[in-house]
Amino acid sequence: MNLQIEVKTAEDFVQIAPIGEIDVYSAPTFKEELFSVIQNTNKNLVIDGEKLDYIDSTGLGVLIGGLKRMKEKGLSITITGLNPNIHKLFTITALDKPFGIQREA
Amino acid sequence: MDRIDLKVPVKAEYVSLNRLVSSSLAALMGFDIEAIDDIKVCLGEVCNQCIQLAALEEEALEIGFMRDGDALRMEVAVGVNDDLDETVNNGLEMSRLIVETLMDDFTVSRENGQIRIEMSRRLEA
Repeated sequence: MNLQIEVKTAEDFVQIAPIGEIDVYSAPTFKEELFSVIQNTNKNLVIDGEKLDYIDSTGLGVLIGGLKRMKEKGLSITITGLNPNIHKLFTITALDKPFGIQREA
Repeated sequence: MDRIDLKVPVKAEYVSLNRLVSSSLAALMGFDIEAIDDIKVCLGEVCNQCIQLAALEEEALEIGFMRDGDALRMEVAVGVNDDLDETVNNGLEMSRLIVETLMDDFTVSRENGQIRIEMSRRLEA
């Protein structure tokens, strides 16, 4: 599977860095890791997208599920470092609005 | 027109292989990097749609790549049950939105027990 997931806990937030591709095959692995982190934290979540090469609608669906769970806990998800082609998918699907997306140069 | 046909098991693990074929052919035709990425994304989305819609006993996705002048045409077909669950169908809206936005043409048809999704992208002048 072309996906690795790194999780780091900082003072104010938890960072998840998916490395590689989140697609219909790897999305269940990403979902399991993301939902486990959400279940076990009371900190806001930062998803570092800098090393995310590809995401499809299955992966976007997992992120939506994660955001819903975070909002139920009064917490947020911020996504950083997305490459332009992936950011475009968030714009097309209007997911750039509910997520806090920070674009980096 | 040159045509390449693949017959690929209806399994999620092979979608990345299908995406690779689409991006390789798009690169060969001279699409720029952004367009190649769009084409790869859309082929992946259409394969996802067909895998979710496929009848349980269905064994293969039929994928056609056509180099048609300045256009790359792709089609994916799979057998579906007659009583295809419309709730499954409706759950694919986000995927379809992506493909409709990124490709020049996108059509879905159903005949002879198959769903066939066709799409194309032309080289920009």
